[in-house]
Amino acid sequence: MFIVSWILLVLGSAFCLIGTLGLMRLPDFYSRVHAASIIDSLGTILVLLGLLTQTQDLLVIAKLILILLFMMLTGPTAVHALAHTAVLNENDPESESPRKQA
Amino acid sequence: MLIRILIAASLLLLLWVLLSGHMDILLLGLGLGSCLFVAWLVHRLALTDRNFNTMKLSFNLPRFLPWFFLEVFRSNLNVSWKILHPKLPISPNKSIVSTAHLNDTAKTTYANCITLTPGTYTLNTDDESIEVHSLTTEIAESLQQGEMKKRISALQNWPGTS
Repeated sequence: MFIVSWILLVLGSAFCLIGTLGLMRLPDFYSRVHAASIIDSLGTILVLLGLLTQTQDLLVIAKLILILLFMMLTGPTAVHALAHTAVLNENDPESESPRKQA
Repeated sequence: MLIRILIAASLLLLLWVLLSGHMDILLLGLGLGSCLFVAWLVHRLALTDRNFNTMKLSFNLPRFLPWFFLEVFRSNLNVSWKILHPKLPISPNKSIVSTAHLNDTAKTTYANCITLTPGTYTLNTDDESIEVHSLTTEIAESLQQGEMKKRISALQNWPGTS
C-alpha cells in the first residue's frame, strides 16, 4: 500500500510539473489554459488518490474525497471563467497564436 | 416545501458531521442551526423548487464515469506528450459543437466534461451550441465525431425519462 501511494504521489507530481512546463512553453494564453487543465485533472486526482491510500482514518478519507469532488467542480468553472472573459474582451485565439499551421 | 427544507438541512448536517468529526452537543447544535439557516436561504433562492433530472442522471453515471476517466487519462497523456515534445506540435483552433437536442442538465455536463478533458475547453455557450478551443486539430476532429456527446445524450435518455 505504501509503494502504491508513493507511485501515485510521484506520478501526480510529475503531471503537475509537466503542466507547469506547459504553462511556460506554450505560446499564447489560450494554449496555456490547456496546460493548466493537466494540473487540474490528472495532477490533483493522482496526488489525492495517493494521499487516500496513506490513511485508514474514515474522516480523513471522506474529506479527501470531498476535496476531489470540489476540485473537479471548481476546476472547469475557473477555466471557463478565464477563457470566457478572454473571449468577451475579444482576444481572438487564432490571431494571437504565432504557430498557425493547420 | 417544509420537507424539502428538512431534506436539504439533513444532508448539510451530514456534511457538517463528516467535516468536523466532533460529536458534542454544542457543536452539533451550532451545526444544526446553521444548516437549517442555509437550507432556508437556499429555499428562498428557490433552488429547491426546480425539478432537476439529477436522479435519472445519476442512475446512468456508473456506465459513463469509467469511460470518462479513461478518456481524461488518455488525453492527459496526449497533451503531456505534446508539451514535452521538443517541436511543440500544436495547432490551436476554435470549433463549434452542436448541442441542440440535449437538455439543460446534459448541456452543462457536456460543457464541463469538455473542459475537464485536457486539450479541449469551453469558450462560450448558447442555446444550441458550444464553442470549443482545442490544442490541436486532431483533438478537435475527434471531438466532432461526437463519442462523448453520444454518451452524454445516453445519460439523459434513461428509459422513463423525457
